[in-house]
Amino acid sequence: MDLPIVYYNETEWAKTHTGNKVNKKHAIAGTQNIVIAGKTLIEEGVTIRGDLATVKIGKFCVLKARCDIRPCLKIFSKKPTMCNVIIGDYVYIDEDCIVNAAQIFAFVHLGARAVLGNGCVIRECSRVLPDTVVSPDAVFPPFSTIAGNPARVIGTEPMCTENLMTEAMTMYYDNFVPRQGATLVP
Amino acid sequence: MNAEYLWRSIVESVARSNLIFRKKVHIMTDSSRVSIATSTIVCVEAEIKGEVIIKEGCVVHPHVVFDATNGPIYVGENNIFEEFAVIRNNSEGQPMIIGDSNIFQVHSKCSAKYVGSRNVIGVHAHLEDGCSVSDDCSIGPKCRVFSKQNLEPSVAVYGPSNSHRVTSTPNLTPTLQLEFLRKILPSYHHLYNKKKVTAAAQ
Repeated sequence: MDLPIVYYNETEWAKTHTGNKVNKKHAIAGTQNIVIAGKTLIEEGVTIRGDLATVKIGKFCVLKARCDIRPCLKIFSKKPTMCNVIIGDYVYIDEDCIVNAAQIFAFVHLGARAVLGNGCVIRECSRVLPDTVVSPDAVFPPFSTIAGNPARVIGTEPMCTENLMTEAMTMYYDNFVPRQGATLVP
Repeated sequence: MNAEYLWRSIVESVARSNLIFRKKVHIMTDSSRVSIATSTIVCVEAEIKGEVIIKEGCVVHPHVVFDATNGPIYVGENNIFEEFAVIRNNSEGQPMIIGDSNIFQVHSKCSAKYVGSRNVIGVHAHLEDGCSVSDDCSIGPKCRVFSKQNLEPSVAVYGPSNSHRVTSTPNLTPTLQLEFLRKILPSYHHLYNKKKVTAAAQ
């Protein structure tokens, strides 16, 4: 199955030397604390709260419109700390997601409007279905299909999820091309 | 009877402090009716319309909307408003009163007429027009408090069908979190108060 080619307007997007494409209408704060490996797409209205703690995002991720990445708060004895957020490679985060998670491992798919509670951990190759509400501090094993409010494991993902996600996310990135370049092709 | 007395006393005390605050505001800024206490941190990206009074120690993250075009909004002490929270007074001229130490989490919407103290309004939660929330309530993610509904103290609203349950432990006040945010936010964001002051100076 092939993903369709998505054309974007070059004036509205910024491209970094590592191949990240970021929409200029974002709400990213604290850019000095945000580390993005490369080839990641960040769409319109995305919020990343780098001002609260360091955010690390892997390669070939897609952050769809209006999703919100914010570090989780942990209160240890006396001193509260905002934990760093680590998002692995090939992660797809759909529209209107709120990611308060401590860690999202590689090859994870988050459905639209999902809410990940404070400090939860989603392991590799999992899929969070749309409208899921993951409770705070929850930890989910690899290859789990997660759904519901509060979220539970409702099934398992196929063993080939790694390959599927790698292929899909690479294709998404390759098919995300500027409109100008497309018009030049006869 | 008792609740009514409490309600009236709160309205009166807010109205009184409102008068005091107004005097201060007239000296500080021009015709704007926005009054923000000095120890409160409001990021400049926040949108404030109409008569809004925020007391000491609150933290307002960027992209919060306070819409008081239809009636004033009075906010107590030590509240946290996380990004994209919308506080909108939809009543006709009635004040919206928010107590102390509440947390309004990301994307929550509040058009309640009264919110007490130490409440947690979860992600995407919605307090509909004219409802009232007393103290120590927790509204879960994506939950709703319906229009004209009154929540008793220590009620938790949770789950996909807005179930109610009385909790035994009161909510903690987010003192440590506030201290942390007060320290960290000014170093990354421009503040609303300062913008106002510099604009007035120019």
